[in-house]
Amino acid sequence: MDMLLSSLANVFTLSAILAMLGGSAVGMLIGSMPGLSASMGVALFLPFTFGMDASSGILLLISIYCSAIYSGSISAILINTPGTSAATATLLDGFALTKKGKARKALDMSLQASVIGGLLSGVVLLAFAPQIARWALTFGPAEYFALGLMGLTIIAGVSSEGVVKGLVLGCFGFFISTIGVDPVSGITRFTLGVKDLISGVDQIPAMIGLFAIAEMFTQIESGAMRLTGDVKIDKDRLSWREMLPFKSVILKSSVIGMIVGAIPGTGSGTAAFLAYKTAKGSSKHPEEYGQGSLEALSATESANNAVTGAALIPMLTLGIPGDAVTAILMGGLTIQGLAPGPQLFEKNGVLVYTIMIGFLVANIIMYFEGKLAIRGFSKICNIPNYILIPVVICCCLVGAFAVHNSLYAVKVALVFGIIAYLISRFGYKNLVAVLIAIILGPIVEQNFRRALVLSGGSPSIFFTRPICLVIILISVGSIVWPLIKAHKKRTSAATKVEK
Amino acid sequence: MKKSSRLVTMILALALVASVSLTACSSSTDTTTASGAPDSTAADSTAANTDYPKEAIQIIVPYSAGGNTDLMARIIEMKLPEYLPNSVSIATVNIPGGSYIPGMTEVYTADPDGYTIACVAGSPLSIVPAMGETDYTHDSFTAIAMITSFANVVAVKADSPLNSAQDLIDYIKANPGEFSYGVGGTTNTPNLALSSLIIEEELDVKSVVYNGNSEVLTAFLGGHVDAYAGASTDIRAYVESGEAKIILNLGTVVEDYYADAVTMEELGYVAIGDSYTGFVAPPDTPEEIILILENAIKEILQDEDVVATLSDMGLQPVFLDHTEFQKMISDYYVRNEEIIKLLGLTE
Amino acid sequence: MLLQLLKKNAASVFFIVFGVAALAMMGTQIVSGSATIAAESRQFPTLMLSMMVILSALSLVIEYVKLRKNPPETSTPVFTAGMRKVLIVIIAITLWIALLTKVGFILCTAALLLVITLVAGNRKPLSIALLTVVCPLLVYYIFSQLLNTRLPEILFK
Repeated sequence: MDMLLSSLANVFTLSAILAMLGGSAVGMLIGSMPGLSASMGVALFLPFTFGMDASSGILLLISIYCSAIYSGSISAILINTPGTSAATATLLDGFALTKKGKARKALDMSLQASVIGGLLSGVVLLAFAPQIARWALTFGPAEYFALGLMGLTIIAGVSSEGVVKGLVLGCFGFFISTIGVDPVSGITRFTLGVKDLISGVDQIPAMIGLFAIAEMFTQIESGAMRLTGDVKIDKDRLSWREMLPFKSVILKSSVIGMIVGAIPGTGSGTAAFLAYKTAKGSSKHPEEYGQGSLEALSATESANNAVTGAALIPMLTLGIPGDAVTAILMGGLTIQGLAPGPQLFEKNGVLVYTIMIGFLVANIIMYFEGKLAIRGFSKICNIPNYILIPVVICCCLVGAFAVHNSLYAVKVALVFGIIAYLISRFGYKNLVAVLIAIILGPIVEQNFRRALVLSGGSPSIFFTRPICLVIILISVGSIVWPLIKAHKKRTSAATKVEK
Repeated sequence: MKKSSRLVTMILALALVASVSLTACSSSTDTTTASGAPDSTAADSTAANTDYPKEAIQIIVPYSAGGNTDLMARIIEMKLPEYLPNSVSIATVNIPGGSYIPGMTEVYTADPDGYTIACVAGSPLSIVPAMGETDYTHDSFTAIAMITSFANVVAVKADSPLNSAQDLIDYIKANPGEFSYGVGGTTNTPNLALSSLIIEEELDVKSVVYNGNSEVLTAFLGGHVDAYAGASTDIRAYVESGEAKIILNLGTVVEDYYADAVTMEELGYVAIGDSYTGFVAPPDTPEEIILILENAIKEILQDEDVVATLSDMGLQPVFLDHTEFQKMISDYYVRNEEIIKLLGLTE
Repeated sequence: MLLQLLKKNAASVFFIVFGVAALAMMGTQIVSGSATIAAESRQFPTLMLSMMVILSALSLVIEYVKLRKNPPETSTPVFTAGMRKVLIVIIAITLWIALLTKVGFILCTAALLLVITLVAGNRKPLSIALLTVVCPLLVYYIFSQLLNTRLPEILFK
């Protein structure tokens, strides 16, 4: 109990509060710029923390992380380009809302749902971290494969022109993810003798190209003066009361986000897609999804921020980094002499509680700063294209460069931008499936192969492990069930006509 | 109603600006105090005929931010200005990915003026060139110095009936195709070291390859693989908490928490299972510059703060000068190249 | 009819060609001293490429059937004036990539911004000047000073 009190005192020191205020602001800026990602933001500020005390340093980085994951949605909503990969699912409905003139409502929903997701995950972090961590460990290669597979089934539902085209894009993305060094065998694949391709095609430049650059090209071609044409902008905000109808969607999506976050190796983007799919499946108005549904937005936003708190669980309880950001956070702790591990709780309980409570405070700070940010950002809709497009392209190129400090990522982004632009011109509108496959391809392939090594080549491993089996059944069911429903509707309509 | 919300907005905005500038200022003053130190080693420096360094030095790290190698580079980065003849600013630049090739190529093609150096661990120079995809090889670069070395180990769960390397070998021979171990890469240091044992003893084991040590640790803790083969530093916390025990030392460095584990050398194999960390410079960098850097690093490793930070990470400073370091890199490379061929990874 | 199909679905053709080419290259692109390792490494790429080819072909067939049922009234041009603008921007970006390390960040970016804003229809001299001068400097300052990223050295006039 006095550990909790000491950590409360730690959180509310001047330096920690300033760190969180500053971090949230920085994170919000970094996340909203297409081309700069959350992990880049955290990495760039890591050196700053060496001179600070441990709690303020870590809270600075955590604030950057939370805000960046949220603010990626801002540019997804306003200019149809995700600021971070976590916001890719936001594309599905965010920009559609802006085109209807409802950008303000979308932005408010995004902020409010994100904060709720973040706070819920913070509470779970505080209350159940060790138990969840141990549970997450039971996920082995077979389970990761099943999870990845479930993620891939989203492709079937997300493509607006039909399952076949979605699958084509998915296969393309999956193939792209195999380029480079094959981690399981160590040999290189499809590098075409180009040294740079040995690194493979990274998510971030691909995302920048597929969505940001391609969108800019499309805007240039259309010659429009403003991104959303001449739509009248609805200045109505979204009050908390208006959020009530969405509370069960938000709750379910947050839980999904927390599960995905607690499992090392899966991230916000995946969580957002899974939440979207689940929400659509149980929605009363699934036809609105993809056309500008606030409900869809509430699902994706709460899920991707719910990942942030849960991602801290394996790091704080077991010393295992779940993704690039937590790896950097661990580095930040290590260099302060506080190497995370199973005994961090015992040796440094106060620090751990400081982090957990600080996380909750950071989310609240994010809410207030977000409200400010939205006020500023909504004006972006009014900026003429001839200013907006060059600036966005510039940010994209520099951001891609900053990923690895090399022009390789920029070239990847450009190539993907050109391909995406041409593909969307000639038959395939919605390219989200490509990114889903690029992200999930490695998880599916590598864990499939690992599972087979463990089982000695026998595929029964996928059907004898309970969690794996359950996930596979849910995935298959989620594809088959809508088909059955549609078939039933058709046959009952046909019999009605007959009568 | 409007007035008060405006006021709140103003206050928040001011707080924002204040905090961002405070954060930026507090950290930049930290770096400037470091580089503001007097020329403490000017008297010792034998480089009276060069005025190195006179510009900012870049340390290229072909690893992601936050990882062990990156942290070590940053520890050195923070201390270098104090120990070099003239204090200049040092920047660490991460260029991860692609089997370290993009990062190393950047240094390989840089001017040999001492303003671009690389911080490397074992793989980039002692392993990757053997796969045949690089322009450079193990001795293309000019070595500067080694700063630390830790052993890779094989660990099992504390309640496992296996207590020594011999138990392990006997068990595997008695139960072929059953035992599994996790490792962070097919061509990484622990796997190549362990593979020499596996090939020699003709062991039928399941090698489950992950992306890096932390994934192996996760799998090991979850019971999905029977053994962990990787850095001793990453498993140390679990040995101390009693959940795991180390039964085989793939390298030569011995620490308290696995003092009883038999080493590969004791089993009769050439030692290649240590993960070293050190610095190298582009090819043909002048000897005088190398000596300045080498000297600075040697003194940094005696600095109290540095020893303390390294010890928190589970490491001891181990210094090798440029000739010895290059020899280590090359000796490792020769043996690794053989194993890679035996594993069938190259034609 | 076929031309109409292609105009709307050239992307599917791209996928088919890409897939077939990649499958053909599989033998040279995934190699190893051991045949089993190579075979295992080829499994997923082969699977994905094959599926991509088959499904793209299927998509073409489906689109063809749809077209026959509802032939479009007017014929839409393939290459619009807008695409020419995009091409100019693509060339500008390519030049930016090529010249970045030689000419330096600030000049290259200023030039790129100039091209894009003109192509996008900007005709106000003040606006153009502000954009091409302020933006590169701002970005350079933020990235190299505050965020410690290195951007290729600039050449100041």
